[in-house]
Amino acid sequence: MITLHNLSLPTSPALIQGGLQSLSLQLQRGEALWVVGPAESGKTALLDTLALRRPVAGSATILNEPLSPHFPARTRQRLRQRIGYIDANPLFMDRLSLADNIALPLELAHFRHAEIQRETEAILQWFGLQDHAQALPTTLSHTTRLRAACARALITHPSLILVDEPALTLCPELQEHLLSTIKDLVQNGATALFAMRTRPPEVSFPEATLTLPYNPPAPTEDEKEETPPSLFAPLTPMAPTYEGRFS
Amino acid sequence: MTRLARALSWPSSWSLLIGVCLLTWLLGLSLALPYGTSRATHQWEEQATSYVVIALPQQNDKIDALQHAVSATFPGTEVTRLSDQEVAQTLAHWSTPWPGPLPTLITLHYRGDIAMLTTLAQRYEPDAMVIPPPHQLEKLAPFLANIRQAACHISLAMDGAIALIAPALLYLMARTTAFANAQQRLLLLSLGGNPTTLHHIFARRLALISGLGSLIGIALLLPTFIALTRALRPLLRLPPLTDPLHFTTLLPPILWGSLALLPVLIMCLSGGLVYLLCRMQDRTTS
Repeated sequence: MITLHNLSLPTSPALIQGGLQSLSLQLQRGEALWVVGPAESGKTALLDTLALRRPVAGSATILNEPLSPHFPARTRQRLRQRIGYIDANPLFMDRLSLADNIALPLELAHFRHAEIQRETEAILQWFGLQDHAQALPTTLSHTTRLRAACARALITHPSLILVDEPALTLCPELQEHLLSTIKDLVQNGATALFAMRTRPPEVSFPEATLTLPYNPPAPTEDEKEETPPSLFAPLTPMAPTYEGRFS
Repeated sequence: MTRLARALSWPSSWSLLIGVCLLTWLLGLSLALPYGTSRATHQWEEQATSYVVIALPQQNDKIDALQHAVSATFPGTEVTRLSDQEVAQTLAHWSTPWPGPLPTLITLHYRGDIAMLTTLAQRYEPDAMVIPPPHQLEKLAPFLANIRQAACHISLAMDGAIALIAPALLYLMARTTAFANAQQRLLLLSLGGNPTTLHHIFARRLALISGLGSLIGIALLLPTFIALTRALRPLLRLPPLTDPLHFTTLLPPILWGSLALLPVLIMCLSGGLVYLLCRMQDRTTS
Protein backbone atom coordinates (compact mmCIF):
# COMPACT_ATOMS: atom_id res chain seq x y z
CA MET A 1 0.00 0.00 0.00
CA ILE A 2 2.62 2.54 1.14
CA THR A 3 6.33 1.89 0.98
CA LEU A 4 8.85 4.60 1.67
CA HIS A 5 12.53 3.83 1.33
CA ASN A 6 15.15 6.34 2.45
CA LEU A 7 12.71 9.19 2.08
CA SER A 8 14.43 12.48 2.95
CA LEU A 9 12.29 14.62 5.21
CA PRO A 10 13.17 18.18 6.21
CA THR A 11 13.63 18.53 9.94
CA SER A 12 14.81 21.30 12.18
CA PRO A 13 18.64 21.30 12.41
CA ALA A 14 18.14 21.67 16.15
CA LEU A 15 16.62 18.20 16.17
CA ILE A 16 18.81 16.47 13.62
CA GLN A 17 22.21 17.51 12.38
CA GLY A 18 21.98 18.64 8.76
CA GLY A 19 18.23 19.21 8.90
CA LEU A 20 17.36 16.07 6.95
CA GLN A 21 16.20 12.72 8.19
CA SER A 22 15.84 9.56 6.21
CA LEU A 23 12.76 7.48 6.74
CA SER A 24 11.70 4.06 5.57
CA LEU A 25 8.21 2.88 6.22
CA GLN A 26 5.79 0.26 5.09
CA LEU A 27 2.05 0.33 5.70
CA GLN A 28 -0.54 -2.11 4.45
CA ARG A 29 -4.27 -1.75 3.84
CA GLY A 30 -6.28 -1.55 7.02
CA GLU A 31 -3.40 -0.12 9.05
CA ALA A 32 -3.27 3.19 10.88
CA LEU A 33 -0.43 5.03 12.53
CA TRP A 34 0.23 7.95 14.84
CA VAL A 35 3.11 10.11 13.67
CA VAL A 36 4.27 12.04 16.72
CA GLY A 37 7.10 14.44 17.31
CA PRO A 38 7.89 18.02 18.29
CA ALA A 39 7.38 20.98 15.98
CA GLU A 40 9.55 20.90 12.85
CA SER A 41 10.22 17.21 13.24
CA GLY A 42 8.88 16.46 9.74
CA LYS A 43 5.34 15.26 10.52
CA THR A 44 3.59 17.60 8.10
CA ALA A 45 6.32 17.08 5.52
CA LEU A 46 5.65 13.34 5.70
CA LEU A 47 1.91 13.87 5.26
CA ASP A 48 2.50 16.34 2.42
CA THR A 49 4.75 13.84 0.69
CA LEU A 50 2.17 11.09 1.03
CA ALA A 51 -0.50 13.48 -0.26
CA LEU A 52 1.71 14.11 -3.33
CA ARG A 53 2.05 17.77 -2.46
CA ARG A 54 5.83 17.64 -2.16
CA PRO A 55 8.41 16.20 -4.52
CA VAL A 56 9.54 12.80 -3.34
CA ALA A 57 13.22 12.69 -2.37
CA GLY A 58 13.85 8.98 -2.18
CA SER A 59 11.98 5.94 -3.25
CA ALA A 60 8.27 5.66 -2.57
CA THR A 61 5.28 3.60 -3.55
CA ILE A 62 1.90 5.06 -2.65
CA LEU A 63 -1.31 3.12 -3.12
CA ASN A 64 0.76 0.51 -4.97
CA GLU A 65 1.90 3.13 -7.47
CA PRO A 66 5.67 3.69 -7.60
CA LEU A 67 6.52 7.38 -7.65
CA SER A 68 9.22 8.61 -9.99
CA PRO A 69 10.48 12.02 -11.14
CA HIS A 70 8.50 11.59 -14.39
CA PHE A 71 5.31 10.72 -12.64
CA PRO A 72 2.44 11.01 -15.16
CA ALA A 73 0.01 13.79 -14.30
CA ARG A 74 -3.01 11.55 -14.86
CA THR A 75 -1.75 8.97 -12.38
CA ARG A 76 -1.07 11.75 -9.89
CA GLN A 77 -4.63 13.03 -10.26
CA ARG A 78 -6.05 9.53 -9.91
CA LEU A 79 -4.01 8.93 -6.77
CA ARG A 80 -4.95 12.28 -5.27
CA GLN A 81 -8.61 11.41 -5.70
CA ARG A 82 -7.98 8.37 -3.52
CA ILE A 83 -6.25 10.37 -0.79
CA GLY A 84 -8.17 12.31 1.85
CA TYR A 85 -5.93 14.88 3.47
CA ILE A 86 -7.11 17.07 6.34
CA ASP A 87 -4.34 19.60 6.52
CA ALA A 88 -3.67 22.34 9.05
CA ASN A 89 -5.10 25.18 6.95
CA PRO A 90 -7.69 23.70 4.63
CA LEU A 91 -8.44 25.70 1.51
CA PHE A 92 -11.96 26.22 0.24
CA MET A 93 -13.59 27.61 -2.84
CA ASP A 94 -14.71 30.90 -1.33
CA ARG A 95 -17.52 31.47 -3.82
CA LEU A 96 -19.13 28.09 -3.20
CA SER A 97 -21.33 27.15 -0.29
CA LEU A 98 -20.02 24.71 2.29
CA ALA A 99 -22.18 21.92 0.86
CA ASP A 100 -20.82 22.54 -2.63
CA ASN A 101 -17.27 22.58 -1.29
CA ILE A 102 -17.81 19.25 0.38
CA ALA A 103 -19.41 17.83 -2.76
CA LEU A 104 -16.56 18.96 -4.99
CA PRO A 105 -14.43 15.75 -4.72
CA LEU A 106 -17.44 13.71 -5.81
CA GLU A 107 -18.02 15.97 -8.78
CA LEU A 108 -14.36 15.71 -9.75
CA ALA A 109 -14.68 11.92 -9.56
CA HIS A 110 -17.68 12.17 -11.95
CA PHE A 111 -20.30 10.89 -9.54
CA ARG A 112 -23.94 11.23 -10.56
CA HIS A 113 -25.89 14.24 -9.43
CA ALA A 114 -28.30 12.26 -7.25
CA GLU A 115 -25.45 10.38 -5.65
CA ILE A 116 -23.56 13.59 -4.93
CA GLN A 117 -26.67 15.04 -3.33
CA ARG A 118 -27.28 12.00 -1.17
CA GLU A 119 -23.67 11.58 -0.02
CA THR A 120 -23.27 15.28 0.72
CA GLU A 121 -26.41 15.45 2.81
CA ALA A 122 -25.36 12.35 4.72
CA ILE A 123 -21.87 13.59 5.52
CA LEU A 124 -23.13 17.08 6.42
CA GLN A 125 -25.42 15.48 8.93
CA TRP A 126 -22.68 13.14 10.16
CA PHE A 127 -20.40 16.05 10.97
CA GLY A 128 -23.21 18.26 12.25
CA LEU A 129 -22.81 20.79 9.47
CA GLN A 130 -26.34 20.79 8.07
CA ASP A 131 -27.05 24.24 9.53
CA HIS A 132 -24.06 25.69 7.69
CA ALA A 133 -24.69 23.90 4.40
CA GLN A 134 -25.49 27.03 2.42
CA ALA A 135 -23.03 29.33 4.22
CA LEU A 136 -19.91 30.57 2.51
CA PRO A 137 -16.68 29.21 4.03
CA THR A 138 -15.31 32.69 4.72
CA THR A 139 -18.21 33.39 7.10
CA LEU A 140 -17.53 30.33 9.26
CA SER A 141 -15.34 29.73 12.29
CA HIS A 142 -12.07 27.84 12.03
CA THR A 143 -13.52 24.82 13.83
CA THR A 144 -16.45 24.64 11.44
CA ARG A 145 -14.07 24.93 8.53
CA LEU A 146 -12.03 22.06 9.95
CA ARG A 147 -15.20 20.00 10.30
CA ALA A 148 -16.00 20.78 6.68
CA ALA A 149 -12.46 19.84 5.66
CA CYS A 150 -12.94 16.50 7.43
CA ALA A 151 -16.23 15.95 5.62
CA ARG A 152 -14.70 16.85 2.28
CA ALA A 153 -11.70 14.59 2.83
CA LEU A 154 -13.81 11.59 3.81
CA ILE A 155 -16.76 11.95 1.45
CA THR A 156 -15.14 9.81 -1.23
CA HIS A 157 -14.18 7.04 1.26
CA PRO A 158 -10.50 7.48 0.39
CA SER A 159 -7.99 4.66 0.45
CA LEU A 160 -5.41 6.76 2.27
CA ILE A 161 -6.42 9.20 5.01
CA LEU A 162 -3.98 11.78 6.32
CA VAL A 163 -4.88 13.99 9.27
CA ASP A 164 -2.73 16.85 10.48
CA GLU A 165 -2.73 18.08 14.07
CA PRO A 166 -5.32 20.93 14.18
CA ALA A 167 -8.25 18.68 13.24
CA LEU A 168 -7.36 16.45 16.16
CA THR A 169 -6.62 19.05 18.80
CA LEU A 170 -8.96 21.96 18.17
CA CYS A 171 -12.12 20.34 19.45
CA PRO A 172 -12.32 17.12 21.53
CA GLU A 173 -15.74 16.35 20.08
CA LEU A 174 -14.42 16.60 16.56
CA GLN A 175 -11.43 14.43 17.45
CA GLU A 176 -13.61 11.68 18.82
CA HIS A 177 -15.99 11.85 15.91
CA LEU A 178 -13.23 11.92 13.35
CA LEU A 179 -11.31 9.03 14.88
CA SER A 180 -14.39 6.84 15.08
CA THR A 181 -15.25 7.61 11.45
CA ILE A 182 -11.73 6.89 10.29
CA LYS A 183 -11.60 3.73 12.37
CA ASP A 184 -14.58 2.42 10.43
CA LEU A 185 -12.90 3.30 7.14
CA VAL A 186 -9.65 1.64 8.24
CA GLN A 187 -11.56 -1.49 9.16
CA ASN A 188 -12.89 -1.45 5.62
CA GLY A 189 -9.38 -1.40 4.18
CA ALA A 190 -8.25 2.22 4.23
CA THR A 191 -4.86 3.31 5.55
CA ALA A 192 -4.59 6.27 7.92
CA LEU A 193 -1.85 8.46 9.38
CA PHE A 194 -2.44 10.98 12.17
CA ALA A 195 0.15 13.64 12.93
CA MET A 196 0.37 15.10 16.46
CA ARG A 197 2.98 16.39 18.85
CA THR A 198 2.13 13.75 21.42
CA ARG A 199 -0.16 10.84 21.23
CA PRO A 200 -3.39 11.51 23.15
CA PRO A 201 -3.30 9.18 26.15
CA GLU A 202 -7.01 8.43 26.26
CA VAL A 203 -7.22 7.35 22.61
CA SER A 204 -6.66 3.69 21.84
CA PHE A 205 -6.96 3.83 18.05
CA PRO A 206 -4.57 3.40 16.34
CA GLU A 207 -2.13 1.50 18.41
CA ALA A 208 1.01 1.99 16.35
CA THR A 209 3.15 5.11 16.75
CA LEU A 210 6.04 6.49 14.76
CA THR A 211 8.14 9.10 16.54
CA LEU A 212 9.89 11.76 14.53
CA PRO A 213 12.64 12.68 14.17
CA TYR A 214 13.95 9.22 14.10
CA ASN A 215 17.15 8.60 16.11
CA PRO A 216 18.98 5.80 14.41
CA PRO A 217 20.77 3.12 16.37
CA ALA A 218 24.47 3.80 16.68
CA PRO A 219 26.43 2.06 13.92
CA THR A 220 28.62 -0.85 14.84
CA GLU A 221 32.42 -0.51 14.83
CA ASP A 222 32.66 -2.32 11.48
CA GLU A 223 30.09 -0.01 9.87
CA LYS A 224 31.97 3.03 11.19
CA GLU A 225 35.17 1.89 9.49
CA GLU A 226 33.48 1.07 6.21
CA THR A 227 31.41 4.21 5.79
CA PRO A 228 32.64 7.46 7.30
CA PRO A 229 29.72 9.57 8.47
CA SER A 230 28.68 12.32 6.12
CA LEU A 231 26.71 15.36 7.05
CA PHE A 232 24.20 14.97 4.23
CA ALA A 233 24.13 11.20 3.97
CA PRO A 234 21.03 9.50 5.30
CA LEU A 235 21.41 8.93 8.99
CA THR A 236 20.09 5.44 8.69
CA PRO A 237 19.70 3.13 5.74
CA MET A 238 16.36 1.99 7.09
CA ALA A 239 14.20 3.40 9.77
CA PRO A 240 13.34 1.11 12.65
CA THR A 241 10.23 -0.96 12.67
CA TYR A 242 7.26 -0.02 14.70
CA GLU A 243 5.26 -2.93 15.99
CA GLY A 244 7.21 -5.02 13.54
CA ARG A 245 5.87 -3.12 10.51
CA PHE A 246 8.93 -1.08 9.58
CA SER A 247 11.29 -2.97 7.38
CA MET B 1 -23.13 25.09 -14.55
CA THR B 2 -20.74 22.87 -12.61
CA ARG B 3 -19.60 23.68 -9.11
CA LEU B 4 -16.13 24.34 -10.40
CA ALA B 5 -17.37 26.88 -12.93
CA ARG B 6 -19.32 28.64 -10.18
CA ALA B 7 -16.31 28.61 -7.88
CA LEU B 8 -14.15 30.67 -10.22
CA SER B 9 -13.90 34.43 -9.99
CA TRP B 10 -13.84 36.70 -13.02
CA PRO B 11 -12.05 39.89 -12.14
CA SER B 12 -11.60 41.21 -15.66
CA SER B 13 -14.89 40.50 -17.42
CA TRP B 14 -15.91 44.12 -17.88
CA SER B 15 -12.46 45.21 -19.01
CA LEU B 16 -12.41 42.44 -21.60
CA LEU B 17 -15.94 43.20 -22.75
CA ILE B 18 -15.24 46.90 -23.19
CA GLY B 19 -11.80 46.27 -24.68
CA VAL B 20 -13.05 43.80 -27.29
CA CYS B 21 -16.04 46.03 -28.03
CA LEU B 22 -13.75 48.99 -28.69
CA LEU B 23 -11.33 46.91 -30.77
CA THR B 24 -14.17 45.51 -32.90
CA TRP B 25 -15.56 48.98 -33.40
CA LEU B 26 -12.15 50.26 -34.48
CA LEU B 27 -11.59 47.24 -36.71
CA GLY B 28 -14.95 47.81 -38.39
CA LEU B 29 -14.10 51.45 -38.98
CA SER B 30 -10.64 50.62 -40.28
CA LEU B 31 -12.05 48.01 -42.67
CA ALA B 32 -14.71 50.44 -43.92
CA LEU B 33 -12.31 53.39 -44.19
CA PRO B 34 -10.77 52.55 -47.62
CA TYR B 35 -14.16 51.74 -49.14
CA GLY B 36 -15.79 54.84 -47.69
CA THR B 37 -12.93 57.10 -48.74
CA SER B 38 -12.84 55.65 -52.21
CA ARG B 39 -16.58 56.10 -52.57
CA ALA B 40 -16.54 59.64 -51.23
CA THR B 41 -13.56 60.83 -53.27
CA HIS B 42 -15.01 59.27 -56.39
CA GLN B 43 -18.24 61.13 -55.79
CA TRP B 44 -16.35 64.32 -55.13
CA GLU B 45 -14.17 63.89 -58.20
CA GLU B 46 -17.15 63.11 -60.37
CA GLN B 47 -18.97 66.18 -59.25
CA ALA B 48 -16.04 68.54 -59.27
CA THR B 49 -14.53 67.68 -62.63
CA SER B 50 -17.66 67.13 -64.65
CA TYR B 51 -19.99 69.74 -63.22
CA VAL B 52 -21.15 71.75 -66.21
CA VAL B 53 -23.67 74.57 -66.09
CA ILE B 54 -25.80 75.71 -69.02
CA ALA B 55 -27.02 79.24 -68.42
CA LEU B 56 -30.02 80.52 -70.35
CA PRO B 57 -30.78 84.24 -70.21
CA GLN B 58 -34.50 83.91 -69.63
CA GLN B 59 -37.27 81.46 -69.07
CA ASN B 60 -38.89 80.13 -72.20
CA ASP B 61 -40.61 77.03 -73.42
CA LYS B 62 -37.50 75.71 -75.13
CA ILE B 63 -35.83 74.88 -71.83
CA ASP B 64 -37.67 71.63 -71.38
CA ALA B 65 -36.91 70.64 -74.93
CA LEU B 66 -33.22 71.44 -74.36
CA GLN B 67 -33.18 69.34 -71.19
CA HIS B 68 -34.64 66.35 -73.04
CA ALA B 69 -32.28 66.83 -75.95
CA VAL B 70 -29.20 66.88 -73.69
CA SER B 71 -30.37 63.77 -71.83
CA ALA B 72 -31.09 61.99 -75.12
CA THR B 73 -27.85 63.02 -76.84
CA PHE B 74 -25.54 62.37 -73.90
CA PRO B 75 -27.00 59.45 -71.95
CA GLY B 76 -25.86 59.15 -68.35
CA THR B 77 -25.60 62.87 -67.78
CA GLU B 78 -27.77 63.77 -64.85
CA VAL B 79 -29.48 66.86 -66.18
CA THR B 80 -31.06 68.96 -63.45
CA ARG B 81 -32.85 72.27 -63.77
CA LEU B 82 -32.16 74.37 -60.70
CA SER B 83 -35.03 76.01 -58.87
CA ASP B 84 -35.18 79.81 -58.55
CA GLN B 85 -33.93 79.58 -54.99
CA GLU B 86 -30.94 77.44 -56.04
CA VAL B 87 -30.22 79.80 -58.92
CA ALA B 88 -30.25 82.78 -56.59
CA GLN B 89 -27.93 80.92 -54.22
CA THR B 90 -25.52 79.99 -57.02
CA LEU B 91 -25.45 83.49 -58.41
CA ALA B 92 -24.86 84.90 -54.95
CA HIS B 93 -21.72 82.69 -54.75
CA TRP B 94 -20.54 83.99 -58.11
CA SER B 95 -21.09 87.72 -57.71
CA THR B 96 -22.97 90.49 -55.98
CA PRO B 97 -26.79 90.18 -55.85
CA TRP B 98 -28.24 89.64 -59.31
CA PRO B 99 -29.96 92.83 -60.49
CA GLY B 100 -32.31 91.62 -63.24
CA PRO B 101 -34.64 88.68 -63.69
CA LEU B 102 -33.05 85.38 -62.77
CA PRO B 103 -31.62 83.33 -65.62
CA THR B 104 -32.32 79.62 -65.96
CA LEU B 105 -29.51 77.27 -64.95
CA ILE B 106 -29.28 73.66 -65.97
CA THR B 107 -26.58 71.54 -64.35
CA LEU B 108 -25.24 68.29 -65.66
CA HIS B 109 -22.31 65.93 -65.23
CA TYR B 110 -20.62 65.91 -68.57
CA ARG B 111 -17.13 64.73 -69.48
CA GLY B 112 -17.32 65.06 -73.26
CA ASP B 113 -16.48 67.86 -75.71
CA ILE B 114 -17.74 71.21 -74.43
CA ALA B 115 -18.06 72.60 -78.03
CA MET B 116 -20.54 69.84 -78.92
CA LEU B 117 -22.60 70.64 -75.87
CA THR B 118 -22.48 74.36 -76.65
CA THR B 119 -23.64 73.73 -80.25
CA LEU B 120 -26.52 71.63 -78.97
CA ALA B 121 -27.57 74.20 -76.38
CA GLN B 122 -27.34 77.11 -78.81
CA ARG B 123 -29.48 75.22 -81.31
CA TYR B 124 -32.37 75.61 -78.86
CA GLU B 125 -31.39 78.94 -77.37
CA PRO B 126 -28.82 81.00 -79.27
CA ASP B 127 -27.88 82.99 -76.17
CA ALA B 128 -27.22 79.89 -74.09
CA MET B 129 -23.85 79.78 -72.33
CA VAL B 130 -22.09 76.58 -71.35
CA ILE B 131 -19.85 77.07 -68.32
CA PRO B 132 -17.30 74.23 -68.09
CA PRO B 133 -15.77 73.11 -64.77
CA PRO B 134 -12.84 75.29 -63.68
CA HIS B 135 -9.46 74.03 -64.87
CA GLN B 136 -7.93 74.09 -61.43
CA LEU B 137 -10.27 71.25 -60.42
CA GLU B 138 -8.14 68.95 -62.60
CA LYS B 139 -5.52 69.21 -59.88
CA LEU B 140 -8.00 67.65 -57.51
CA ALA B 141 -7.51 64.17 -58.99
CA PRO B 142 -3.97 63.52 -57.68
CA PHE B 143 -4.94 65.05 -54.34
CA LEU B 144 -7.88 62.69 -54.04
CA ALA B 145 -5.67 59.78 -55.07
CA ASN B 146 -3.37 60.69 -52.21
CA ILE B 147 -6.32 60.77 -49.82
CA ARG B 148 -7.31 57.29 -50.96
CA GLN B 149 -3.79 56.02 -50.46
CA ALA B 150 -3.58 57.63 -47.03
CA ALA B 151 -6.88 56.00 -46.05
CA CYS B 152 -5.48 52.61 -47.08
CA HIS B 153 -2.33 53.22 -45.00
CA ILE B 154 -4.30 54.38 -41.97
CA SER B 155 -6.54 51.33 -42.26
CA LEU B 156 -3.53 49.03 -42.48
CA ALA B 157 -1.89 50.69 -39.47
CA MET B 158 -5.09 50.39 -37.45
CA ASP B 159 -5.48 46.72 -38.41
CA GLY B 160 -1.88 46.09 -37.39
CA ALA B 161 -2.35 47.86 -34.07
CA ILE B 162 -5.52 45.87 -33.39
CA ALA B 163 -3.75 42.64 -34.32
CA LEU B 164 -1.13 43.47 -31.67
CA ILE B 165 -3.43 44.87 -28.99
CA ALA B 166 -6.05 42.09 -29.13
CA PRO B 167 -3.68 39.22 -28.20
CA ALA B 168 -2.02 41.43 -25.57
CA LEU B 169 -5.43 42.20 -24.05
CA LEU B 170 -6.40 38.54 -24.04
CA TYR B 171 -3.05 37.58 -22.53
CA LEU B 172 -3.54 40.13 -19.77
CA MET B 173 -7.07 38.92 -19.09
CA ALA B 174 -6.01 35.26 -19.07
CA ARG B 175 -3.17 36.03 -16.64
CA THR B 176 -5.41 38.13 -14.40
CA THR B 177 -8.10 35.45 -14.33
CA ALA B 178 -5.57 32.70 -13.65
CA PHE B 179 -3.99 34.79 -10.90
CA ALA B 180 -7.37 35.49 -9.30
CA ASN B 181 -8.10 31.77 -9.32
CA ALA B 182 -4.73 30.58 -8.04
CA GLN B 183 -6.25 29.29 -4.80
CA GLN B 184 -9.01 27.47 -6.66
CA ARG B 185 -6.42 25.88 -8.92
CA LEU B 186 -4.33 24.78 -5.95
CA LEU B 187 -7.36 23.24 -4.28
CA LEU B 188 -8.43 21.57 -7.49
CA LEU B 189 -5.00 19.99 -7.86
CA SER B 190 -4.96 18.80 -4.25
CA LEU B 191 -8.38 17.18 -4.72
CA GLY B 192 -7.14 15.32 -7.77
CA GLY B 193 -8.88 17.49 -10.33
CA ASN B 194 -7.54 18.06 -13.79
CA PRO B 195 -6.25 21.62 -14.34
CA THR B 196 -7.30 21.31 -17.98
CA THR B 197 -10.89 21.54 -16.74
CA LEU B 198 -10.06 25.00 -15.44
CA HIS B 199 -8.46 25.96 -18.75
CA HIS B 200 -11.59 24.87 -20.60
CA ILE B 201 -13.79 26.92 -18.28
CA PHE B 202 -11.51 29.98 -18.62
CA ALA B 203 -11.38 29.64 -22.40
CA ARG B 204 -15.15 29.15 -22.75
CA ARG B 205 -16.03 32.06 -20.48
CA LEU B 206 -13.50 34.50 -21.94
CA ALA B 207 -14.49 33.46 -25.48
CA LEU B 208 -18.13 34.18 -24.66
CA ILE B 209 -17.26 37.57 -23.20
CA SER B 210 -15.11 38.38 -26.24
CA GLY B 211 -17.90 37.31 -28.60
CA LEU B 212 -20.41 39.43 -26.72
CA GLY B 213 -18.03 42.41 -26.71
CA SER B 214 -17.50 41.97 -30.42
CA LEU B 215 -21.26 41.84 -31.07
CA ILE B 216 -21.74 45.05 -29.10
CA GLY B 217 -18.89 46.62 -31.08
CA ILE B 218 -20.62 45.73 -34.34
CA ALA B 219 -23.93 47.02 -33.01
CA LEU B 220 -22.18 50.31 -32.23
CA LEU B 221 -20.75 50.40 -35.74
CA LEU B 222 -24.18 50.80 -37.31
CA PRO B 223 -25.05 54.16 -35.69
CA THR B 224 -21.47 55.26 -36.32
CA PHE B 225 -21.83 54.53 -40.04
CA ILE B 226 -25.19 56.32 -40.12
CA ALA B 227 -23.72 59.36 -38.38
CA LEU B 228 -20.68 59.43 -40.68
CA THR B 229 -22.80 59.11 -43.82
CA ARG B 230 -25.05 61.91 -42.65
CA ALA B 231 -22.10 64.11 -41.77
CA LEU B 232 -20.37 63.52 -45.10
CA ARG B 233 -23.33 64.03 -47.43
CA PRO B 234 -23.30 67.86 -47.28
CA LEU B 235 -19.56 67.79 -47.96
CA LEU B 236 -20.20 65.62 -50.99
CA ARG B 237 -23.00 67.97 -52.08
CA LEU B 238 -25.52 65.19 -51.84
CA PRO B 239 -29.09 65.74 -50.65
CA PRO B 240 -29.93 64.52 -47.13
CA LEU B 241 -31.07 60.93 -46.94
CA THR B 242 -34.45 59.73 -45.84
CA ASP B 243 -33.35 56.10 -45.50
CA PRO B 244 -30.86 55.89 -42.61
CA LEU B 245 -29.67 52.45 -43.75
CA HIS B 246 -28.58 53.80 -47.13
CA PHE B 247 -24.96 53.35 -46.03
CA THR B 248 -25.38 49.58 -46.33
CA THR B 249 -25.38 49.98 -50.10
CA LEU B 250 -22.20 52.05 -50.02
CA LEU B 251 -20.03 49.31 -48.53
CA PRO B 252 -19.34 46.07 -50.41
CA PRO B 253 -21.04 42.82 -49.36
CA ILE B 254 -17.66 41.24 -48.56
CA LEU B 255 -17.17 43.83 -45.81
CA TRP B 256 -20.59 43.12 -44.34
CA GLY B 257 -19.82 39.39 -44.52
CA SER B 258 -16.52 39.94 -42.69
CA LEU B 259 -18.23 42.05 -40.03
CA ALA B 260 -20.91 39.41 -39.54
CA LEU B 261 -18.27 36.71 -39.10
CA LEU B 262 -16.11 38.84 -36.82
CA PRO B 263 -17.77 37.91 -33.47
CA VAL B 264 -17.51 34.21 -34.26
CA LEU B 265 -13.91 34.63 -35.36
CA ILE B 266 -13.01 36.65 -32.27
CA MET B 267 -14.77 34.10 -30.06
CA CYS B 268 -12.83 31.18 -31.54
CA LEU B 269 -9.52 33.06 -31.52
CA SER B 270 -9.86 34.32 -27.96
CA GLY B 271 -10.99 30.91 -26.67
CA GLY B 272 -8.08 29.17 -28.34
CA LEU B 273 -5.57 31.78 -27.27
CA VAL B 274 -6.71 31.79 -23.63
CA TYR B 275 -6.62 28.00 -23.51
CA LEU B 276 -3.09 27.90 -24.93
CA LEU B 277 -1.90 30.66 -22.58
CA CYS B 278 -3.32 28.90 -19.51
CA ARG B 279 -1.72 25.62 -20.53
CA MET B 280 1.63 27.26 -21.12
CA GLN B 281 1.38 29.08 -17.79
CA ASP B 282 0.47 25.85 -16.03
CA ARG B 283 3.44 24.05 -17.52
CA THR B 284 5.85 26.73 -16.39
CA THR B 285 4.45 26.83 -12.84
CA SER B 286 4.09 23.06 -12.31
